[in-house]
Amino acid sequence: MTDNSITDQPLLRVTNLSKHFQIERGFPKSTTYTVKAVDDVSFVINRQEAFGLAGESGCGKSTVGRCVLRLIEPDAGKVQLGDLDVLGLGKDDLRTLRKKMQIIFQDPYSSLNPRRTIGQTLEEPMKVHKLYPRNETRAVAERLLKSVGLSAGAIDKYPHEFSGGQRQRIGIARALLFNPELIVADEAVSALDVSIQMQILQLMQELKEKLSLSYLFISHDLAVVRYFCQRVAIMYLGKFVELGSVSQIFDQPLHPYTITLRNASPIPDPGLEQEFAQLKGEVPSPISPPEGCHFHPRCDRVMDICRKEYPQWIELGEGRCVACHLYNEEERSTS
Amino acid sequence: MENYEYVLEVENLSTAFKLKSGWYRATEDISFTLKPNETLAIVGESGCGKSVTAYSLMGLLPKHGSRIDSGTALFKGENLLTMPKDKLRKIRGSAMTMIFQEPMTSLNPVLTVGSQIAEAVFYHNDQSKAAAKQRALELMDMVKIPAPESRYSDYPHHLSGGMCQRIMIAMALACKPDLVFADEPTTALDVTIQAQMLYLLHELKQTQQMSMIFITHDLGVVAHVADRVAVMYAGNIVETAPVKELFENPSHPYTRALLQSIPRLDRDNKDIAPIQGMVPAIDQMPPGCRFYSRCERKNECRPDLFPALKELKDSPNHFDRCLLNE
Repeated sequence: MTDNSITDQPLLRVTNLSKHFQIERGFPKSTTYTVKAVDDVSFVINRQEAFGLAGESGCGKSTVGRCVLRLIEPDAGKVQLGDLDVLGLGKDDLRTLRKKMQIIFQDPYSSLNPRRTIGQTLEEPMKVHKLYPRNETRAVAERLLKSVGLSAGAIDKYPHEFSGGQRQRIGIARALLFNPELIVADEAVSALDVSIQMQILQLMQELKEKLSLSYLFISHDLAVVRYFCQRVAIMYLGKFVELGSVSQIFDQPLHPYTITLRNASPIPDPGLEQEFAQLKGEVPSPISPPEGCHFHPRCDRVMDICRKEYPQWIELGEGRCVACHLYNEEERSTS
Repeated sequence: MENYEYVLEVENLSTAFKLKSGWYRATEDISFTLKPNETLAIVGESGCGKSVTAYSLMGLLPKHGSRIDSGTALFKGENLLTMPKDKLRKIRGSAMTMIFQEPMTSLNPVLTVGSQIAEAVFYHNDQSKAAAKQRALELMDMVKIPAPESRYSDYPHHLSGGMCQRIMIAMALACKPDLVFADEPTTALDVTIQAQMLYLLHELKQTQQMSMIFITHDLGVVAHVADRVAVMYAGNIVETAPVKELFENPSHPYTRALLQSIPRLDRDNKDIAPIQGMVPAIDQMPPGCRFYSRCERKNECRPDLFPALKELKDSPNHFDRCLLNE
C-alpha cells in the first residue's frame, strides 16, 4: 500500500540488537548450547510507517519484536524510541514506556483471559496506570470498542462469545488504550481466515492514519507484508539478510534467500508457471548454524567465500541493504 | 478392474452434527465428480465443511454426535456410505487414503517411521514382513527421503515437519491408491518446505496414476495443484469450475469477493477489498442463499430462495449456486 504520509523522522531506532538463549540438551549429561535467536540486527522505523519483518518459523522475528518491547531482555544493542533509551530504563520508567509501545498477539483465542469480560480486560490497565478517573473507564472502553468496529454491548461479554476476527479487534482495542506511538503486530492476522484478514488489515491501516501510529509488522506471509507495509526486512536464522521498500524487495530481490522465499510463495494465478523444483534443503538448526553465510548450504549461487565468512551488511542506496557476498564483490570492483 | 467414468461420484451428501439444541447440517447438498488422474481442490474458509466432506467420505466421522443425513458417494461404482464396515476398512488405507494436516501429531510417536509405512503395506497386501519393509524403503526413496535405510528406524521426533509429511505421503501411497485425500497437507509447513511438498505431489501424480482431492484454504496453492476447483461456503459448494476458468471468470459473488480480498506478492495491491460481515453460525443458517447477507448484489436477489448448483449456460463444466446466474 503506498502512503504519502510517511515522514522520514525516525521513531524507533534499533542498533546491533542481539539475543542469545542458552539451552541444555542431552541426557543424562547435558551440554549447554547457545542459540543466537537474534544476532546483530539494526533497523529504523519512521513515524507513521508500517515496517515488516518476514521470514520462516524460527528465524527470530518474534524475538526481535519482544526485545524491542523488553518483554525479553536483549543481551546487547541499543533500542531508542524517540529520545528515550529503552534498554536503559528502570522499572518505573519502563511502565511509562509501555504506554507508548503496545503489542497485538497472534492467537486471538489464547491472548484474552477467558474468565474476564471484555470490559474488565480493557479497564484494568486504565486503572493500573490511573489514566482516567474510575467512573469514566467504562465509557472509554465502550468508545474504544466502537472505534474498532464492535458494538458497545460487547463490553459485558466474555471472549468465547466472539469469533476470531472479533477477538482480534478486541486485541487491537486493548493495544490502543494508551494512544501508543508504536504497535508490534506479531502475526496479528495469521490465525484469521482470508476474508477476515483483510478486514483487520484495513482497520489497522485506518487506525494508523487516524492516530499516527507506526507498526512493527511481523509476518511469515509475504503477500500480506507487501499489502500492509512500506518497508520490510527479511530474516534468516537470526540475521537480517535484506532490507528495503516492499516493491524493491519483492519485485527485484537481491539476496538468494529472498529470491527463494518469493519463488516459493504460491501466487493465486493458474496462468503463472511457478517453478518450485529448484528449492533444496531445509532451514538448519539454529543451535549450530552453518559456518560463514548461514544460507550457503541452500544457495544456488554459493562461492568459496560464502563458506568461510559471514557477509557484511552493505548499503546499496535508496535505503536498501543486503548481506550477501555477491553484492559485496560488485561494490569492491566499482570502488 | 471394472470400468468406470468417475473414481468418485458424490451426490447430495449432507452431514449433520449434534449440538445442545439439536442436529445441524455442517454440509448440505454436496455433489461433485472426480475423474481418474484428476485433482480437485476444495477451497473455503475454516468451518465451511471441507474437512467434514472428506471425513464423511472416508467414514472417519465420530460415532456419536454426527450422522450422514442424505446422499450417495460412489467410489469406483460402490457406495461408500452404505458399505459394510469391514469392507470400507479394506478400501481405506489402500485404495482410498488420506494425508493429514499435522504431520507431527498424525504419526505414532513410539513407532519408527519405517515400520509405520511397512504396517500399511503388510496390513493390506498379502506379503511377508521382509517384503513390506522392502516396499517401505522403496516408498521412502520415492518421496525423496535421503538415505532411507538409515532413516527407516528413526522415530518421528527425529525428523523435521517436512520429513514427517513425506512419511505421511509415503504411507498414503503405500498400496497404490486410486484416490488420495490431502487435507491441508502443507498448511503447517514453512513456505519453502511447502513448495518442495507441492513439487513432490506434482511429480508423484504424474508417475502414480491417482486422483486427488486437495483440501486447502490457500488460493495460491489451489492455482498450482488443481485441475478443477470446488469453492465451499458455509456448508455448500457454491461454485465448481476448471482451475483457469475459476480464476479468470468467477461467477459466484462469493468466489469473486474472495479473489478480490487476497493480496498478491507480485504486484501492488491497490484494488483489494475485504468481504464485509461474517459467516453465519451453524445454528443460524438462513433459509435461502447462505451468502445473502454479505453479497454485494443482494439488492437484486431474494433472501428466501435456496439456489441449486447448476451448470452455467455459456460455459460447460462450470457450475454455480447463485440465483442471479439462472
